[in-house]
Amino acid sequence: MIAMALARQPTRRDFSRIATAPLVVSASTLGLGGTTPPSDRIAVAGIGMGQRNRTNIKEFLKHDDVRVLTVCDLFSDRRTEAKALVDGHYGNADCKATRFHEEVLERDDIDAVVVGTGDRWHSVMSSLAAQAGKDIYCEKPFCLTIAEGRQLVDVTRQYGTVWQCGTQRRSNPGYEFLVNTILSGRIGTLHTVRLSFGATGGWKTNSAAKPEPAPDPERFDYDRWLGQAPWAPYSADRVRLWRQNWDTGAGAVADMGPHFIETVQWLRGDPKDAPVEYEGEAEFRDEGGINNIPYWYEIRTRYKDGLRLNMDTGRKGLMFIGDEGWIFLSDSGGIDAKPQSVLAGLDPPDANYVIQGPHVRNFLTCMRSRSQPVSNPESAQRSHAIAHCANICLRLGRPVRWDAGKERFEGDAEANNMLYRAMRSPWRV
Amino acid sequence: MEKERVQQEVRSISAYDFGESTEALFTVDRLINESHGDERGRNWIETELAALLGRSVSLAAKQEVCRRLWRIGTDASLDALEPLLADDDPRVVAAGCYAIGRRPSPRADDLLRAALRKAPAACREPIETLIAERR
Repeated sequence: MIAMALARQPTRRDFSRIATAPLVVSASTLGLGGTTPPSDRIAVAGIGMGQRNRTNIKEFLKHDDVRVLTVCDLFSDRRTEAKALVDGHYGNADCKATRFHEEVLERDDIDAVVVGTGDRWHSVMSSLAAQAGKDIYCEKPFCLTIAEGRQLVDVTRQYGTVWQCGTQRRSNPGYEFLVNTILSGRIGTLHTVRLSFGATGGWKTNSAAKPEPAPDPERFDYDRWLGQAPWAPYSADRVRLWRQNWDTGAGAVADMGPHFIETVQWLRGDPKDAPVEYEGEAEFRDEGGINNIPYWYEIRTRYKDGLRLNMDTGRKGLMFIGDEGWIFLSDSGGIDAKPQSVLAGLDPPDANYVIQGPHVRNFLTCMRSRSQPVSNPESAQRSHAIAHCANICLRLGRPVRWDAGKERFEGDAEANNMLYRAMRSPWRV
Repeated sequence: MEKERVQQEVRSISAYDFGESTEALFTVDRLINESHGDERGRNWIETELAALLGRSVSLAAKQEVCRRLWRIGTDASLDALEPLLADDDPRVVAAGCYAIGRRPSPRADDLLRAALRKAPAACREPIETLIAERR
């Protein structure tokens, strides 16, 4: 509904302003008593209602100026669970549940979609939603290749879409504290950043993924689930381990990388910047199974000005090292530093990664003002590109050089071939 | 790099099918990585990969060959990809498109346009999309 108002079409709120108010209109309908009138609420749909997106939707439900109208998922049990979540919040049974995203996107009364599908669907669904006139809050990693990300940047620009990447740490007060502390010079001149994405854990899981009969699409629509990925027969393990295969997921580095890399880009103040050199080592589950992503890795990169940005599987968090000390932000929220004087007189806020409210609020505010959110397409694309460059380096097993301006590898045809991959029809960005 | 090793390791992909061990695929990936900067070795690998497309191998094996040609393929393997683009199974056509990707090649552009003219309706979309995205 808000999108209509922004397009200067008459809304129910406009109408209520100019019409003689009928006696039966309730106070909440008019937005009295501190409530948001229905006509001024942002109507939201959730697409891809697994655990992550149910968490996202819970966050949207906290906002009085949001109304969640529908949920969409390819698994019937997730549809049921998500509908129950929304209906339980509103105390009614109004939330629609569907397996077809087309039924969501064709609705004129939906202003925004919250996309929490598997990685292979993020950019495709974002593109479809943008073309349908919706604004989008989209989980990361939002693209499987650098070209795919660039295509989505172009689409959102073409359609004037407000698109926020679900890198909620960008709006976390603890991360702002971290950036400001470093910028104030408390660790001296920054020379190295170490981003640790956590223990190998689940990334090591493997299976042969033996073909099995596909379920009834009403229970689980496997063909749609595959999306852009090359066709492969159904296997429950293929579905379960989608993050561990390049066809369906973007791998461990691109899963956590965009969160932490975005903080480094924020600190540097130039979202279009990127390291120019990448080298590293990785280990793969090469004994033979569906898992073909690196589960252990050490990546060393360098920006043009000499700043080193390293990525590894250490304790999840961000370490910034300067010539006078270091500061570490744990993903669970704690902040540590050496010498202790780095934090003297400061009161670090909680930086736990689960803090998401400010990021969702930033998106909603930008929807109303038609401005760019903090994790907008261009900045998200650049952060993701760094993670994808690292992945390409690990897959090639050798160093690569990156030209961020051209979004191409320097003199490296093989690496450049990996910037793009054809999607399975009919899906495209 | 030994030619016999290349032949043996690349040909091992021919036995691959969905749900089977992917060990051979990792072996070929290592071979490809090792051959960086070795033009002769790369040519052998590409030749062997392309030859597999002309044999009676599973769809899964064709897809895996195409994934590797996506990385290292040149105009030298386009002739082997041509029949994939003319196949009446959209999954095979998609594999051929995957292999070609966006690598710059006027010959690949010509091949795709020619394939589009002959493709059955059910197989046109991947070719059309790739032609558009290569522009």
